[in-house]
Amino acid sequence: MRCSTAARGDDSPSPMIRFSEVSKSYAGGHDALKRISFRIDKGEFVFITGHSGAGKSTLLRLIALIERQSGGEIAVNGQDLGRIRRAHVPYYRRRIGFIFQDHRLLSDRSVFENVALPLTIAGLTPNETGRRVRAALDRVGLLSKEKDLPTQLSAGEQQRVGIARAVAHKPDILIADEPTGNLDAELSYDIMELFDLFNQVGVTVVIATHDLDLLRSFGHRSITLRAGQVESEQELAK
Amino acid sequence: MTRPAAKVTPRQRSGIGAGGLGAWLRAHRAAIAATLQQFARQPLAHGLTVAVLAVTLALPIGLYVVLANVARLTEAWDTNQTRMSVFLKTNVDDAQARRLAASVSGSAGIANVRVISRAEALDEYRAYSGFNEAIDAIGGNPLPAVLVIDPGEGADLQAIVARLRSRPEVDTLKFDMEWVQRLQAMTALGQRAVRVIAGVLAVAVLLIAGNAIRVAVAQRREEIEVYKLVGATDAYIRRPFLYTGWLYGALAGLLACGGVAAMLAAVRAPARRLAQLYQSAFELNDLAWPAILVVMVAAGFVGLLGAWWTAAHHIRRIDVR
Repeated sequence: MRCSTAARGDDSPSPMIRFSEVSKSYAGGHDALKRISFRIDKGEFVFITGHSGAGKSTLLRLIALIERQSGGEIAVNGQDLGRIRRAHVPYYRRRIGFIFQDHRLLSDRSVFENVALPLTIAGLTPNETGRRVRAALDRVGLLSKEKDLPTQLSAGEQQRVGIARAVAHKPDILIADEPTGNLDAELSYDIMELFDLFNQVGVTVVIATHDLDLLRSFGHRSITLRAGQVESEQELAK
Repeated sequence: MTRPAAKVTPRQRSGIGAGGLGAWLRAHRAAIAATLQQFARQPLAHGLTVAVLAVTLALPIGLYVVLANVARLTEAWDTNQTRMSVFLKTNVDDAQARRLAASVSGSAGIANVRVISRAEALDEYRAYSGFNEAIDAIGGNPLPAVLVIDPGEGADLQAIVARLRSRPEVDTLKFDMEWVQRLQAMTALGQRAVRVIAGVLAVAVLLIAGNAIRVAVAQRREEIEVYKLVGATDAYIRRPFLYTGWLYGALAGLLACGGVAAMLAAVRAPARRLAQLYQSAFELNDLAWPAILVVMVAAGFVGLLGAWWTAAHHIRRIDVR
C-alpha cells in the first residue's frame, strides 16, 4: 500500500472537480463542511470516506447542485457552480450521473422506461433512446430484464438499473452515494467493478462509501472526511 | 485564480444533443401520454374532480340558457307597439261591441281595431285554461267582449285612453306590453347577475382545479424528485399537470353542458304547453354546439390557469432529497 498525502498542486492539468475553501452550514448552525479544498482530475476514480455525518453526502450533493454551498467556490469542468442559475440546474445535471443507496427507481415503470428517463427528458428520439438504453442495460448485464418492473428484481439488480440510468446519457461524472450500502460483499464487489469499467472509458467517478475493505480492494485515491474537514488523502494501490 | 465564467446556453449545456422543434413536440407528446395514463390509472379521483367542476359550471350555464330563452321570447314581441286591450262590460253583447269598434276605428289616432266576441273569448279560454268543468258549472259566459286596439304611429295615447274610458260600454283598459317591458327589464337584470355568478364560479373552478393539481403534485413527489435528479426542467415536469388542468376544465365544461341539455329536455314539454297557452309557437332553444365549444374552451382555459398557478409553485419547491 502506497500512501501519499501530498496535496495535488493547482498546476496539474484539467481538473474535473475543484473545491476551494467550501463550507456548508445548515439552518440551526450545523456545519456539514468546513472550508474544504480538494481537486479531482478528469478521468479519475476517487472514493470519499469517513464516518456517517462526516459530510460525505453533503459533498456529493453540492457537486450535483442538489444543495448550494454556503461559502467558497466549486468548479466542475471549469464551470463555477455558484454562477449556475436555478433555471439552468437541470441542464447541468444532464452531465452528471447520480446513484443513491436506495436506487430511486420509479416502481410503476419498466426497467427500460426507468433507464430511458434521462434520455426522454433530454429530448432524444425514441430510436436513439432505445439504442442507448439497451447499450446501458447490456453494460450492467440486465438486457434480458428490460420489460420487468423494478420490484421484480433483486436488490443488486435494482442498483444496477440505477447505474444504467445514471450512465445512459453518457455523463462526464458519475457520483454514487453509498451505492453498495444495501448489498452483501460479493454484490458490492460486482457493483464496484462496474464503476471501474465506466472509469476505464474516461468517466470521472466519485463514490462515497464507508466500506473500507471494498475501497482497499480497488485501489484508487480516497479522500477521508472527518467532521466536515478533509482528514487525509490516500492513494491506494490495488 | 481566474477562470472564464462561461456563459453557456442551455442547449450547449445539455450533456446530450437535444433541442429543436422535434424534441419540443416529443416532450408534448410524452406529456399528453403521461396525462392520459394518469387519468386511466386513477379514473375515480380524476372523475370526481371533473364532476365537481361540472356541477360548479352547470349553475351559470343553466341560468344563462334559461335567461337567453326568456330574452328571446320577449324580444319576439314588438314592445314599441302599444297595443291596448279594452275590456267591455259583461252586459255589452257582441253586436254592441262591433258597433263600438266601428265607431272607434273611425276616430283619430286609431290604426286598427279587432273585436274578440264573448263567444270567441270563451272558446279560447276553454281551449287553453283547462277550466272546462268550472265554466260549465258556472253556466253561461262570464267573459266580456274585448276590443284589441292598435293606436296609429304618433297618436296621442292619453287622448285615446280618455275617450275610450268615457264610453259607457268600456269596463277596463290595459296596455298589453307593460308586463313584457317589465319582464325584459328583469331578464336584463338576470343576465347581468348570471355574468357576476359566472365570474365568481370561474374563481371557484380555478381554486378547485388548482387544489386538485396541488394534491396530484404532492402525490407524485418522489417521481418528481427522480425527474429533477436526471435533469428534467420544471417546465417539463409541469407540462402533464397543465394538460391535466386543461382537461379537467374542458371535460367539466362538456359534462356541464350535457347536464344542462338534460335539464332542458326535461322541461321542454311543459314549456311547450305553457307557450301554447300564450298562443305562441315558442320552443326552448337547446345549447348549440358553438356555445358548448365556447364553454369547453373557456373552462379549459380556467382549468389550465388553476393548474399553472399551483403546479409552478409546488414543483419549484420540490428538489432531490
